Amino acid sequence: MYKFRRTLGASTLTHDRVVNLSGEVIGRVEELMIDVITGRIAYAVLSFGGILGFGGKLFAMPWSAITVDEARQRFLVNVTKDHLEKMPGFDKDHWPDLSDLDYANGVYRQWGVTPYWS
Amino acid sequence: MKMTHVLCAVMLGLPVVAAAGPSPSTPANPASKLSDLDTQMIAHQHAINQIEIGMGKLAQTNGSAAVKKYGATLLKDHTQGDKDMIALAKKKGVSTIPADTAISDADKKDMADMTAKLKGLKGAEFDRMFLDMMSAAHDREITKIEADIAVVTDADVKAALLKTKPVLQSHSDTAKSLQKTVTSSMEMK
Repeated sequence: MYKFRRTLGASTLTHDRVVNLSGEVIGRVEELMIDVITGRIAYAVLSFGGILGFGGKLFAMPWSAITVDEARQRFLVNVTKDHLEKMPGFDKDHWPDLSDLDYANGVYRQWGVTPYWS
Repeated sequence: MKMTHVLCAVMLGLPVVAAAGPSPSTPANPASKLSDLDTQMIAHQHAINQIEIGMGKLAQTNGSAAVKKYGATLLKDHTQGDKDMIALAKKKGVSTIPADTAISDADKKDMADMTAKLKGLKGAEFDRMFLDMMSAAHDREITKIEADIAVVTDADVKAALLKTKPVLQSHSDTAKSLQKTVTSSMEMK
């Protein structure tokens, strides 16, 4: 029998596949970024597209926009591939810092969820 | 089944749109026995092979001894892998493997930038950046190939992907074990 767990180690979650509601694999989680002030997850980094690590896009995904499918070791997110093609990601050399509140609010708005700080 | 749908769409004069990939306007190959999606999987692997052959050669000129050896492995495995992919494409009636579905212009630009950076490095510095890249790159491609294996329709393409996966895994494993022997790769993100 499968038992649901409330807490999981961050390293068991990073690099897991991210699947959308149509069942398409859209990428994987590269990192979980911790809000070091509150101890909450500021965002998960989704990598999408590209080839052999070249190109592609990185997105900051709010934790509240993600469902963890622990049994199948994957994340479920309500987003289409088309939407990700059009959505602006972030530069791989400039990972966002959520102390920039305008940016942070924009990220959460983009995913249609309420920021945990508001 | 998939081909039947595509053919019906052609006969009805409906636009045939590739199921995925950045450039859905690629014309379907009339002689091909594969779905557009399966063809794109071959195109993706072919593109990877081409890039890795280049990366393997670069590692052999700029890396330290251990990384040179890793470069030789990349070169050998992906040269063989590419021969297999091209033979498979030919067998399936894909005369030209579409290159533009696998690599977008943005990917190309990023690759050119990163390659230029790598070319400017030698020895330990080169090793560090190269292994960081190869470790993450192979892991991402393993995620992708697993996803492709789950949805591929042609049995031969599936067999080719299943054969490729452990090769990518071994390249990832080697990159990770070599990372431990070179300077710590911890960086601020």
